[in-house]
Amino acid sequence: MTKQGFFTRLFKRLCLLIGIVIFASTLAACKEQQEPDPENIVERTSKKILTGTIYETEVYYFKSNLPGPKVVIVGGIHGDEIAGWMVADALVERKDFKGEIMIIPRANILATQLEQRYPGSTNNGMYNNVKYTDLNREFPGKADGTVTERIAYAIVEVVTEFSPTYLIDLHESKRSYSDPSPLLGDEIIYGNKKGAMLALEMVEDFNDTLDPSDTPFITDANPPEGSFNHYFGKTYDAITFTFETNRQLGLAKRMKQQNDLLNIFFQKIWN
Amino acid sequence: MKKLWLLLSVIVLGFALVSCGGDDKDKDPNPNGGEKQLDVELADTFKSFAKNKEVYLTTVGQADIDIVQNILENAAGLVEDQDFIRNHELTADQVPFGSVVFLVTGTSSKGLGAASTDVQAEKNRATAFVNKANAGQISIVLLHVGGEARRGSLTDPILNVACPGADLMLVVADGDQDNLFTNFSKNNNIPLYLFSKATKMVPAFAKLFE
Repeated sequence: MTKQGFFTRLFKRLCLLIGIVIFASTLAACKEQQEPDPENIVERTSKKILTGTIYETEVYYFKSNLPGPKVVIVGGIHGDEIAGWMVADALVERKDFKGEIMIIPRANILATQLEQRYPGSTNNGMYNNVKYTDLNREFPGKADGTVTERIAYAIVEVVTEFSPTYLIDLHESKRSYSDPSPLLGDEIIYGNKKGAMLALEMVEDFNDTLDPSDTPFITDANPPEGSFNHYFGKTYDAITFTFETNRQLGLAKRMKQQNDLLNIFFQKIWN
Repeated sequence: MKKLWLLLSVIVLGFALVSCGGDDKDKDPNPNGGEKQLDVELADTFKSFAKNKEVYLTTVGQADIDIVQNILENAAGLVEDQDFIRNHELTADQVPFGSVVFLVTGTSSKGLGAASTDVQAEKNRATAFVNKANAGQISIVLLHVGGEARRGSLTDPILNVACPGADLMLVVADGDQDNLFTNFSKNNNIPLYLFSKATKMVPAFAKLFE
């Protein structure tokens, strides 16, 4: 073996070794970041509200041994805003929550089954000879009121009992704020000024992840009276947000956007 | 052969680095946007006309006032009703001589609806502030924090009347892609500070009221 041949082989092996070591250590570091924290033990329980009715729906509770604020996440207040409640449905399988989380994936379960804004929303509110109204205009509802008022009341009762610091209502809009006939799509709506800065931070972080062709999200205030966001933001004085994806986009993309927004939110409140 | 191995190693190394590069996207390549020096300069500019003056906060367009209020309170440590008056329907004649008005621009159709007003009425309110500023009776700090999304047919007519009356303009750069603010700044000799993001205004505001 010549001296040159020996050094060439040594160099090659060194290069390969260095590459493998760096690759392996980087992968290990990544894995550490992605895997759930083994010290985070999350207990999941659930209960039903509106039991014995066709509006009976599941409420999930998550309690971690790691500290974090109390958060409520609601989906399915409008049944035709599918990305919102599908993401909420999937969320109950997560095991990495911190603090205490309450999730109501399908607040208006009959509306989600019918995939209508509210039952009968395409028929003047009539469905199976019962008159329904828009649940998101009926909060806080009434214990002895109309069907829709009773659903709202049951939700308010269970949420108030939980006493959250943050509430997120997952919604969708028919069009973007940037559409020539603008609606609320591509927005985070905060319920009172306490949430304005966090909404702005979430929007800025989220917009950094978008493609240049995507419509950037904006923050907005003034949720409509009678909405979940308005009631808990103004009356209960919690920090409330409505996520509004744009239904002009494909379902997978809207679900990804809802998930990304939730992840950004969690990142902010847990760190 | 040696080159091949070297190339292979570089590829492996590159892949290893890229595979964990997700977090880098979240990081600002230039923390504080190199704006620290500008923050000091901005504070000096602000203090040159606004020091120890009464501060009012309002919006012409009914958007983003909460964000600016949060920045005033959290970054500058001001307290509503004690250090500043917030009124989203403030009119020029409610502002005493010598005061500073933080005029938040950017229009929200929902905000207009909630305030039962419209673009023309907001434009009229903005004009009255500008007339009072041009008469030397008040100073205006004009803010536009909503970026490109808060530009367009609802916002621009208000900007066109409000910008020339400002003593200082603080703007998220994305909203100045067409140089609207830059041109008003040049043509009217108004100091303009551009920020990459609204949250980047926070350290600047911390210095305004020191």
